[in-house]
Amino acid sequence: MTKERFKILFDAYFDDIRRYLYYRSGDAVLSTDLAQDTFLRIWERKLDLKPGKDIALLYKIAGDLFVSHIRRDRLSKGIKSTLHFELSGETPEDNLNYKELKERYEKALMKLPEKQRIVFLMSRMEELTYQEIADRLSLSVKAVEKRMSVALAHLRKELAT
Amino acid sequence: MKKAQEHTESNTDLKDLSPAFFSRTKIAWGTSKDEIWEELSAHLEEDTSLNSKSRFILPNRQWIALAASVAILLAVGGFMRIYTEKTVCAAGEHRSIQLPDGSIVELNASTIISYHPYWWRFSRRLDLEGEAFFNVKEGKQFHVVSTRATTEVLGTTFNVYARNNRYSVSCQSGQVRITSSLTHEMITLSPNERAELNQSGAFNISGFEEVHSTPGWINSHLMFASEPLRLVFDEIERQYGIIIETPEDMHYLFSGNFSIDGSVENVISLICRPFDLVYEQKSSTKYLIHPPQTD
Repeated sequence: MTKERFKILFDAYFDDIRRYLYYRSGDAVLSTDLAQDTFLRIWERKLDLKPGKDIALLYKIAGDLFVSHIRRDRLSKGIKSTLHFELSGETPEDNLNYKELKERYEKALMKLPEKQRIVFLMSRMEELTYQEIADRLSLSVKAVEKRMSVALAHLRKELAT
Repeated sequence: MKKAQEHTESNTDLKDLSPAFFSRTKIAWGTSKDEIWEELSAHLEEDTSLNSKSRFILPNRQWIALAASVAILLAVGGFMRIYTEKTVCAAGEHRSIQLPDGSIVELNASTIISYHPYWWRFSRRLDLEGEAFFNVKEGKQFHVVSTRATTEVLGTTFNVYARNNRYSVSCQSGQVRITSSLTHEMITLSPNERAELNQSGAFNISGFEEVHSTPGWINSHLMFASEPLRLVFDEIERQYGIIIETPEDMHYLFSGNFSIDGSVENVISLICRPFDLVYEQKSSTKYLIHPPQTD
């Protein structure tokens, strides 16, 4: 793979991968590092990934890196980080409402099992269709639907209280 | 009822809110994508140079490792195939050998066997020169190779006599197949049958009646049925580890059986008596047989 083609791949997917890792870990610095490692690994292994076709592999590598990092890390520290969202759009009267909702979401999302959180956030944050999510995570659409509905049920319960 | 209402309520609440909420939400990244690309592309340059180096080293190492393992495999295999265990049973001696699979070979005096112990599981084959009684554990083909013929079995008890030009096999139990090296003739022996190879390489089969489950020599008992006297003395030589000299023109046939637990002199006099022969002890291991001197 030439550097030019690698750059194209990087531009197309770096943000997606970094977000995906963030959904899983809730740790922005870690997600950035691991996303960078993911692309570095692709370059070192000389994997010729075709944009659009081999995205699932990209997610797989990122996921594997995350899991091995967790395994290594679990021994040294048991701290679980939480998601933090930033609000854009300056509507002062809304902001108060949103701020409260944001905090509740951050808490509720961290309580979700990882698999459901990923699917939910991909759907909401990136507005991906179930088919697109399924392709990325090498899942069936049915499984995505299932995870989504379980995630919604959980969130509903958490946010209602 | 109230609960269900609550559910639908919060459901609509969530549905209305969440897309709007998330469309305004961002993740607070510390570093931008462009900054990361800068950092990453610096790594890429290093890595290409590193990779071109390792591209040379890695295949080499793998090849050496592969060649080494093949060499070791060949060496071990070759050793297993070639390594030979040789057992020599001297004159005046009987020995019992256990083979790797548990088969037992009883060696008569002056007998040599050799086999490949580490290859035994692949091929049960041993070379025999002399006389031996086999108690073969069931399993794959078991071959006893001698100059004049090869005997093969699956699992039986049998006796092979392969000395000089004589070759005979007695089958005790099971079945034994013998192939003549000269004519490639093949015969199968059933229990209590005995095959003898004649000078032209053909087989003579005869029945025999054995009271014991093992040939006589194993119990230090010798049996002869119309055997040329010279062959009888050969057997005595082997059993006692001595030399017996006989005149050239001695064409007697001997029948009889006796124990070899006793002294040599007893045995020799026993054989000499019916033919009116006399013996003389020349030294501790040498005897001379001749017709009585007529003065």
